[in-house]
This record gives sequence, structure tokens and C-alpha cells, in this order.
Amino acid sequence: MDIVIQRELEAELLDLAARLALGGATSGVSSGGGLSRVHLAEANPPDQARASDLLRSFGALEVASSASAFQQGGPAPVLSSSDPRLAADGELACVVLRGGQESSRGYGKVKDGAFSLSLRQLVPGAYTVLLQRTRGDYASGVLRFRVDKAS
Amino acid sequence: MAWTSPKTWSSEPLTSLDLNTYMRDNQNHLKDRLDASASQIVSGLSELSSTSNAFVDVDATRLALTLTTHGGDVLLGFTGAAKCSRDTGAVYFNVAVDGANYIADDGIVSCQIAQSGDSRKLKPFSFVLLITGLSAGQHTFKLRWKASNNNTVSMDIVKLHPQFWAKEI
Repeated sequence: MDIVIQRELEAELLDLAARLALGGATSGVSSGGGLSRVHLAEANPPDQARASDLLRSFGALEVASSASAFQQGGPAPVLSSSDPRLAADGELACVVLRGGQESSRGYGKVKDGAFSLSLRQLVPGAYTVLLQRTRGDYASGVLRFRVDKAS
Repeated sequence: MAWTSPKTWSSEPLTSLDLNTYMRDNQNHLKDRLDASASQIVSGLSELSSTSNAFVDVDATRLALTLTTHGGDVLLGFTGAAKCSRDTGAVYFNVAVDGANYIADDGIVSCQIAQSGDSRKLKPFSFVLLITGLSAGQHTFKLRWKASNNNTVSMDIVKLHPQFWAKEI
């Protein structure tokens, strides 16, 4: 069954988020025509509610990057968030894409409601980072930045 | 209007009842079948995309056809272009007839993008499929697709305009 929202989200990022949040309960996502869909393997009410939250709160987490462009070998990008939803959280899931392909994933710590993560030793490229809560109501944020070759 | 097997006349009188049944009604039946067709040419402001590894509707409204048939087979056709996001990705196409995948397993046609750096480039797709065994009445046909290998499949409907059609034969 499909959970649908009238909002066109980027399919590749939404897919990452859906697989993080729903695991094997989703076969993937679709977008286009002004709609986004999460495809669920079964009509399971908890999964339906989770998928519905995901579509509603995708990109809703307030996140920031220390800059939008960096130089290789220079100061590392620092990703941060003080979104009130993180008050009782201990970590955020983090997936880093370079040129649209996943380059790494892991978890960043949240301390006293604040998240901060430094990404070191990045090679040049266009980066997209998905940050997602691992507990409580679903929320995620997306950051984009560029790393250029050292001049 | 149902088809009635033609009568073989011998020497009995030609009645208006027989003429209406075997000539008028059968010709109407054949004409209705010839006229029964449905077609969509799709345009949009952004491409259609999916990451699903199970068959899902490509577009549940714009790549969907409703056809009232008269007991004949239906010829379905699709022409369009799709791409994969990964070098090792594949896109598979199928059709749903009245909500169920018509072909099992991996569907009708697929394109496996080779390790040649041609991911994210559109490939042409076209197929014609004969749907048999349909009862007379209203039927829905939807184009479906799926992706493989953590791949995102996309269809251009902005600059290219896929066609999906059905015709009773």
C-alpha cells in the first residue's frame, strides 16, 4: 500500500530516509506529479503512521552547516542543530552522499539537546547530508555543501 | 452488445428479427470493439521517479487507462524513456490489469545499465503486450515499474512525452 503526500520530494533522499525509518517494511518511494509516495509491503498501522510522519516531517528538522563551500584540506564542515525536538535525544543518524552516491553513514551525538558533527578528510565534490532522528516522532533535515580542490 | 454466432440461412423467410440480431447487432459489436481504445500522452513539470524494488504504479493517474471492452483481447502499448541512477542499476516494467501485475517475476522488459558510465542517461523503452482472457466490461490498465540495486529510476515527462495506450482487438 502507498502513503501519499501532496508534496514532491527528492526520491533518492526520501528513499534513504524511508529505509532508515522503516527498514524492510518499505519497498521504496516514488515522486512526481506533485506527489510523493512511500510504498509499504503490508497495510500495517504502525508502519502507516511512521510513513505518514516521515512524509510530513521530511526536512523539518532545523539543521545548519558552518558554510556552504569548503576547500579540501581547510577547515572541516561542521554540521549542527539545536532543534527543540532534540532535547531528549542522544544521537542523530547521518548519511553522507557525494555526487548523489552514498559515501558514508553513521551516528552523531546529541548532547544537552545540541547536535554537532565535524566531517573530516572530505574529497572534492558536491555533498548532501541527511540527518534523521532515531527516536520519538520522525524528523529529518538535509544539508548541502561543496568541497573544492585546494587552490 | 454481445456477439451472436452467425446463422446459416437455407430457405426460411428472412425476418427483421434475424436481420437485427445477426446483421445489425453483430456489426455494432464489431464496430464497438474497433472503437474501444484509450490513450495517454504524459507531460509534466518534473520527471517521475521511484526507488521501489517491488512493482509500483509509475503514475497512478496519468499512466493509467480505463477501457470498457466487449469480450475481446486488448493490445497494450508503451513508448517512453527511462534512466537509472547507478551504473549497476536496472529498471523493470510491467502492467497492472485491474490492480494486479499481469506478468509475474520481473515483468515485461528491463534495461540493465552496464558498468559503462552511462547511468543517469535516458534509454528508450517500448513494448506491446497482448492481454487475453478479459471479460466484457470496464477494465483498468496501469504502467508499473521497479528498480534494483538501491537504484533510482526516472522517466522524463518534461521534454519527452511517453505514450501509454490500449485497444481492444
